[in-house]
Amino acid sequence: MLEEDLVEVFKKLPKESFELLLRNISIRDHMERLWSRYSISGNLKKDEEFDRVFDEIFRFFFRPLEMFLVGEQYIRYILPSPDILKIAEGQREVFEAYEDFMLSLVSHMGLTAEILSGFTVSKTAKSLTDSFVRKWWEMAKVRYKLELDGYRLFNEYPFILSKETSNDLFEAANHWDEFREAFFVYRDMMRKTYDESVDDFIEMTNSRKIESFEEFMQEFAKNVAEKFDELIKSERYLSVQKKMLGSLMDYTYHMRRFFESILEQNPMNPFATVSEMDEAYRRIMDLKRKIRSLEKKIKELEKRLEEGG
Amino acid sequence: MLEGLKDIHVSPWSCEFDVVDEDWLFRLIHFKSRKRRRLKTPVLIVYAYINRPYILDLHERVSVVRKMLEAGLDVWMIDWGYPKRADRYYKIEDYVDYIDRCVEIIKNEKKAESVTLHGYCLGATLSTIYASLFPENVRNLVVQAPPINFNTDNTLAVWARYIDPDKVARAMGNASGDFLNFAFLLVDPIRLAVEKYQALLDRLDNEKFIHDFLYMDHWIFDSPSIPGGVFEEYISRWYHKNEVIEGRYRVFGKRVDLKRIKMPTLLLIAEKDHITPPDCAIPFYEIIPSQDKLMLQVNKGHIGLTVSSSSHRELWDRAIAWIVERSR
Repeated sequence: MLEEDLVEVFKKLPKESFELLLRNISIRDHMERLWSRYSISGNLKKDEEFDRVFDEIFRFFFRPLEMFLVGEQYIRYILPSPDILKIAEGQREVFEAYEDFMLSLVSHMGLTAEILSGFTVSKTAKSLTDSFVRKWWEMAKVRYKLELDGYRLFNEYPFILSKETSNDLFEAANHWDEFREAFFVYRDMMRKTYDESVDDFIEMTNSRKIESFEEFMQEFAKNVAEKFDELIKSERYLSVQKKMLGSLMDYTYHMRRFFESILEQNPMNPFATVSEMDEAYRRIMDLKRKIRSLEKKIKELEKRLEEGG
Repeated sequence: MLEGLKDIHVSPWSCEFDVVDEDWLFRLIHFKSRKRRRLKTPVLIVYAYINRPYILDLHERVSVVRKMLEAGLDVWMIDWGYPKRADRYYKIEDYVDYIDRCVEIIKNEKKAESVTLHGYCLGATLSTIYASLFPENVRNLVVQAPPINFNTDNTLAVWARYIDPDKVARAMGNASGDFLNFAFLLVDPIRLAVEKYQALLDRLDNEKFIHDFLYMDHWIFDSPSIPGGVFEEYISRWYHKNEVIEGRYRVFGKRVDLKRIKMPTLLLIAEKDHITPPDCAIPFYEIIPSQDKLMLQVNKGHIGLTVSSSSHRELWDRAIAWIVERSR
């Protein structure tokens, strides 16, 4: 199929359908390869084609969960490791050289303004330019100094953040850890179930002759589906899924609260956080209900008045 | 290989309608009819707050709404919209209240005393709650695949009992459409993510099959979020505690008493329904004191009940005839 046609199909289908469709084309390719070997030898072996089929089916389900695992990197970016701090310290000489360069640049700007002013600039404009260069340089000096020393602040993070903010970070880290642990158990459980169903399928195909690719495909899907029917209602699966989902939700909440509380405590922050907006939504909703209740009462009164009561 | 897919334009809602009322998130729509509306009792369709209501008007060939209009019924429908973060504090009570508002609008506009309330899936739960609280406003109750008894052993119900809905609402605000799609596929990953698409690959030369497949998939993945407050309530009070069938559910401070369902009641169920299996509905059917009740069933799934040609042949003609008889 031409690439532009594929783009047209992508536009038409929901993204989930499109992805599942592409994955199923790939599943079919792998199954056709397995079928081709089986139809020649009459024998099926467990090989990497089955692994690829597993990947195609379950990447769709694992990916959103893995994205949360990767999300942990946010914490790493916010709290730089000692290695990064050392690198920053090591950059001191570069910063100093840069400062010298900036000083030369300021002199250059000042001298250039001086020369040009004789020809084109009025006295007032010249004093404005001088003033601008001076102010800019004062600001730049302070800024570079701050940037250099600012890295030291990272070492003092626990004392900069409020107690509540730090606690949200600790909570997020704990729940992320629980989530990671549950996710790996969950993924292994899915993989084990799949492997068992493949073993059953191989045993079945090797004990009787399958006549067509359609039957081969149907038997495979039936085998795997039945194994998963058992798994997803088992006590073990249910408790792992509950732990995974619960810890994921707790991690998400505390991580958000961590970011939010940094913003909420900063008097220069111009943005309302999601939690602050939620509080506004809740109050508006309460008001809406009160208005609706009043409207009903007014209607009842009007009705009674009409009836002469 | 996939050329046939790019030529089909998916455009649900086959019948024309007017939007009669809008209330932030919700809206009431009124279907236009080419036929004279000769029946005096209007039908108000209440769909679930999961997925979109146009499944009942997906395309011309399988439109239940069209069938109703052709039978001379006056058809109205509630659209619960696409909840955003700002809607996270909606409660089930607000949904029931909007049904009441719509019923009042229809009664005023059509000079009708009551309506036929037709609920589908969780919309049937809402309709049942409404009918028990305001029986005087409901002339006939039609409940299609209704989850009333939540203590069943289908995978979705078992999973729901293992969810902490408050954690979901606290973290995400709403239960997002992606989250719901993920769960609905994962309850049966091989049949829904593999076999279904393999069947499509087998029939890429069948235009009708591709057409129906694309319409269905479009609908399946057109998933609005569920407001966090509603998600918390429906999972904890309906799935965990099974309050509706046990007569412990309260709305507006009033107890929902299924013994008040005395109006003519039609139950439509699908034998292969893995979302609301017949066990969700049959105890309700047995418990209600209505003297005029009928149960119709087809050997289909939750959605096949609405969109399969065989359901249209075997069930919908009879169901609509039942409604028509009681709408004069």
